[in-house]
Amino acid sequence: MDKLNPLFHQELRLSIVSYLMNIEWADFKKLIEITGASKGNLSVQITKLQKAGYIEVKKSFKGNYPHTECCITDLGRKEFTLYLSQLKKMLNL
Amino acid sequence: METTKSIEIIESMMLESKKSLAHNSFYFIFWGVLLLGAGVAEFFLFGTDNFWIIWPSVGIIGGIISFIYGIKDGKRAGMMTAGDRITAFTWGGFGFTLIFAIIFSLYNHLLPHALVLMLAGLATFISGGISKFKPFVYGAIALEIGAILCAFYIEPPFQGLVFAASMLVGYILPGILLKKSENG
Repeated sequence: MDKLNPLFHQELRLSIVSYLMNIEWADFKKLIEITGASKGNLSVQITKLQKAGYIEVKKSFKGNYPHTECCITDLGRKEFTLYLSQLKKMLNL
Repeated sequence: METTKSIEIIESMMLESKKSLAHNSFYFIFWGVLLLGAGVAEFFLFGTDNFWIIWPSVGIIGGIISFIYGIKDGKRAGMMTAGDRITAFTWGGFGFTLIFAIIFSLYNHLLPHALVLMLAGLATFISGGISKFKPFVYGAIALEIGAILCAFYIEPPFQGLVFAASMLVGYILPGILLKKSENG
C-alpha cells in the first residue's frame, strides 16, 4: 500500500487544499473563515504547502491593507488527485 | 489523522467551495426594476420631446451603482470560482455591447428595446447555464420572446410595455428566486 502524502494528511492543510481545488483563488481572510484556524497556524501551513510547490501565494496591497491570495498549482492538483485515489483505495471506495 | 476523517474534510470543503458568494440577485433585481421603470416611463412619455433621454440616463445611473456594488461585493467574497469569472466577463461584455447598441439605435432613430432584450437574454442564458439556476434559463427565453415581439410585432408606443413585462419575467422574478436561495 502506498504511503499517503504527509503534506496533505493533516487536518488544516487538507482543508486548505480541498477548498482550493474547486476555485480559482481565495484570500487569507476567507481561508480563516472557512477553516476556523488561527492566523498564525494558517500562515504556517500555507507556507509548508507553498514550499512544496502545491499552492501559489500572491501578496499585494488593497488600499493600505496587505492582501494575500492563494491558489492551487498544477503540481498541487496532480498530487492531491493522487492522494485522493490512494485514500479511496484504502477505504475501498 | 484517520482516513475517514480525511474524506469528511474533503467532502465538506469541496461543498463549501461550490458556494459562490457573488450576490448576483442584486444585479437582476436592481436592473430589472430600473429597466421596468424605464419601459413604463417611455410608454407614458412616448412622443414627447427628448423622451429618448430615459435610456442613456438609466444606463449611466445603473452602471455607476452596479460598479460600486461590484467592488464592495468582490471585497466581501474573498474568493473566486471559474463560474464567477465567466459570469463577470459575460456581464462586462454585455454592458459594453449594450452601450453601443443603445447609441446605435438612438443614432439611427430606432427604439433600442429589441436589441437590449436580445443581449440581456443571451447574458441571462449564459448565467443560467453556469449557475445551473433554471429560472434564469426560463427568464432568458422570456427576454428573447420579448425581443422578437418588439422587433416584429409590437408598435413603438407599446414596445415600452412589452419591454417592462419582459424585465419582470426575465430579470425581477428570477432575481427574487435567486435571492431566496442565496439567503437560504
